[in-house]
Amino acid sequence: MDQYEILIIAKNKDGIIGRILSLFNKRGYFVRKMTAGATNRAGYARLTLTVEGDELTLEQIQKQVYKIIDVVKVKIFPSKGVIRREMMLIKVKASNETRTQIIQIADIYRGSVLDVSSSSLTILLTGDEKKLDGFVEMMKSYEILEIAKTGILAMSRGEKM
Amino acid sequence: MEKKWIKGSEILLESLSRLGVDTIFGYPGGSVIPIYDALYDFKKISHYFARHEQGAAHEADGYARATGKVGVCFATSGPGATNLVTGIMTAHMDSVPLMAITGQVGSNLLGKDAFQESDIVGITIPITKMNYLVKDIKELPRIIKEAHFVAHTGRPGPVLIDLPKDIQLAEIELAEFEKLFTEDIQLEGYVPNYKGHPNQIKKAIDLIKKAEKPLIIAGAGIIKSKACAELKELAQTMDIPVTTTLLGLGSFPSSHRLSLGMLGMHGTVGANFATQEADLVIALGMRFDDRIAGDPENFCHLAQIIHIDIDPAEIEKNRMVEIPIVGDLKGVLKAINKKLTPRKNTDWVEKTLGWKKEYPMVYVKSSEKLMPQEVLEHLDTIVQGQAIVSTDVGQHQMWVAQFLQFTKPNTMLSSGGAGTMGFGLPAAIGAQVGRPEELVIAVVGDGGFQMTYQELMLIKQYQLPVKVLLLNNSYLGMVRQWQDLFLDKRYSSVNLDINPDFEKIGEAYGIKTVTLKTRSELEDQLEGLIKSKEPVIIQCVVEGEANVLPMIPAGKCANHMIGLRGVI
Ligand SMILES: Cc1ncc(C[n+]2csc(CCOP(=O)(O)OP(=O)(O)O)c2C)c(N)n1
Ligand SMILES: [Mg+2]
Repeated sequence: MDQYEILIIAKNKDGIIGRILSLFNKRGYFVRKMTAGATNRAGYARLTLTVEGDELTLEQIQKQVYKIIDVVKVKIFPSKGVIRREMMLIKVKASNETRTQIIQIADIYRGSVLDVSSSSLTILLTGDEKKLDGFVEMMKSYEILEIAKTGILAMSRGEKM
Repeated sequence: MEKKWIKGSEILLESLSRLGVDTIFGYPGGSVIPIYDALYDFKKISHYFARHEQGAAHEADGYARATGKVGVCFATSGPGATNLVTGIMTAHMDSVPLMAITGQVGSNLLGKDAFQESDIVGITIPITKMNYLVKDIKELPRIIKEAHFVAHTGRPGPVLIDLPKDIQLAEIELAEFEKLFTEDIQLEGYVPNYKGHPNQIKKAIDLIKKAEKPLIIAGAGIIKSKACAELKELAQTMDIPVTTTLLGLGSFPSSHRLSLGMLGMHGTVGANFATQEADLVIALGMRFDDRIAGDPENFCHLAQIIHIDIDPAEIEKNRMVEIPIVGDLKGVLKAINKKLTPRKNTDWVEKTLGWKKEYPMVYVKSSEKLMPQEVLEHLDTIVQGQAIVSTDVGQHQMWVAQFLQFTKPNTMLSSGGAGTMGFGLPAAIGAQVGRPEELVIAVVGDGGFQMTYQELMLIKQYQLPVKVLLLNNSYLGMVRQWQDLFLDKRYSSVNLDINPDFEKIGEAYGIKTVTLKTRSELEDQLEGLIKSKEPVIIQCVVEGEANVLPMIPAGKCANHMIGLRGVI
C-alpha cells in the first residue's frame, strides 16, 4: 500500500472534520495520521492527513472532499519538493548506567531532553518519519515507556502552496 | 419610534417565502411548536400535514422532482428527525433538491441527552450536501439562504438545518433581520463549474463527428439541467440512438424513432445490445452505477466514452473514460451542437431499429390471471405519456419503466439510487400538490404500499385527485424473482398471501377503491377510473410468478442478458 499526504484547507465549522473523515471511511481508506490546526487566515483549519490506499481511489476521494461545501482547497502532496516534519515525545527507561548513553544518542538526533526522573527520560524529537523511526529503533534496547506523535505536517517548497 | 421584533421561527418562514417556497410538508412536535405557531397565521406558505415524517420527506421530494423547485419538509427533534432520514437519503442518492428543517432541543440542553435530543446533524453528514446546526439567531437568515442555494445549484441535493427551540423563540429587531437577509452568502469553497472546458468540448466534437456507431446514454442530469431540447437536437442532427437510465426516462420521448428505451439490468434488448456494439458513447448526466454497468470496465467495451457531468467527482468514479467534461449539460450541449452539421448513420440506426423490432417488450399472457405487464400496457394506451407517474420499488417499478412511455421531463418519479420502498405514494402526493392540473398516478406494489399508506389521509384531507394503481401480486415480487432465478425457488419471507384487505384500507381512508381481477374488468373499467376527477385506488390482482425480463444478472454485462424474448 502506498502512503500519501493530503492537504485540506476548510472553513473551521462544526462537524467539518467528521464530514471529511466519513468520506475516507466510506471508501475503505485508512487514515494513519492526522494533524489539524490553524492557518494564516482566521476561521480556517488546515488538515494534513496521512493515508494509505491506491492512487485511483485517492483521486476519487480528493474530488469528493473538494465537494464538501466548506472545503476550499485539497491537494495531494507529491513525493518530491515537499517539506515533511513530525514531532514526537518519547519516554524511555533510564538508569544511572544508561542515562548518559541515551542523552548522547538524542544529541546525535538533535533531540532535546524535556524531563528527567530517577528511572526515565522524556525526549522531544522533530524530523521526517525516517528520522523518528530511526530514533525509536535505537531506543528499543532501553525499553520505551510511551510515545506520542503529532502526525505529519507538510508544506511545499518554494513560494507556491 | 417603536421597535418591531421578529422571532427565529418567523425568520425561518419569512426567509423561505422570500426564496420562493410556498409549500411545506411536515409533522409537528415539541421542538417545533414555535415554528408551527408561526405557521398558524403565516399566509404565504401552505403546510401539508403528513402522517409520518418519512411521508413528509418523500412528499417534498416528489414535489421537487415534479416541479423542479426545492422541496421543503419539517420535523421535530429526535424521532421526528430520524424518521426523515430515509427520505433524505433517497433524495441524496437521486440528487433531489430538498431542504429538511428539524427542530432541536434548546441550546442549553444540547449534548445532555435531553428528551428527544438526537444529533441529526451528525447522523445526516453522509446523506446531505450540507447541513447546519444554528447557534445564533443572527446566522439564521444567511444559513437559510445558503442552504437553499446549495440545495438547487450545481449537482442538486438535500440540505438540513437543525434549529434549536430557543433560537426559534429568540427575537431580533425587524430592521436587523432586513439587514441580515441582504447579506451575501459565504460559500468560498463552493463554485460549481457550469461552463465545460473548451478544449475538452472540442475533442468531444471531433469524436462525435468521426463516430460510426454512436450511442447517447441520457441520465437524470439532462432533466435537472433542463437540457431535453439540446439532447434532442444532438440526437437528431447526428442521427444518434438514445437510451436512458431509469431516472433519465422523460428526457427523450420514448416514441421517438431514435429512442431505445431504458438500458441496464432490466433495460431493453436493443439498448443493451447497442452498448455492446457502439464505438462512441456519449454519457450525459449519468453515473455508470451498478444497475447500468454491472461490470464497469467491460461496459461499452468497444466504445470511446465522452462523459459530461456537473459533478467532477462522478468523473472516473465507476468507469474510466476518454473525454470527461465537467459542466452543466445545457450549456455544454449547446456548445457542442453549434459545431455540428447534420449527418446520417443509416446502417447503425437501421441496426438498432432492427433490434427494437425483433425484441420488443414481451411477456406471456396467462389465460386466467391478469399479468402485471398487461395492466401497464393497457394503462399506457390510456395515458400515452401524458401523466406524472411515480413508482414504488420492485418489479412493478421496472415494468413501469419498460411498458409506459414517457414523453416529458419531470414525469417519471422513482427512487432509483436508493430503491426506497414506500416512496411511490407520498411522492405522488407531493407531485399532485405541486402540479394540481396534471394527472398523477402512483404505481405501487402490495409490499411497498404498506410502508407508507398512512399518507393516503392527505389525499382525502387535501382532496388530491391522485390515482393509486396497486399491482397486487401477493409477493415481495422483486425479491421472489431473485429467489426464483438464483436460489432454486427457495421463497424465504417473500410471500404476501396474508395481506390486509386493500379495499377496506381504501375505504377506511375515505377513498374510492376498486379491484380489477380479469382482463375484461381491466378493459372495461381502467380508463374511466384513471380519467375520473376523484382520487381512486385501483387494485389489480395480478399473477404472482411473473418475472421482470430481460435481465442482466448483477455484476455482468449485456452479453449475459437472459430472457430476451420475455421467457427464460
Ligand atoms: C425499505 C426497503 N426495504 C426492503 C427493500 C428490498 N426490496 C426491494 S424490492 C422488494 C419487494 C417489493 O415488493 P412489492 O412492493 O410488493 O413490489 P413487487 O416487486 O411485488 O412489484 C423488496 C423487499 C427495499 N428496496 N426497500
Ligand atoms: Mg408485490
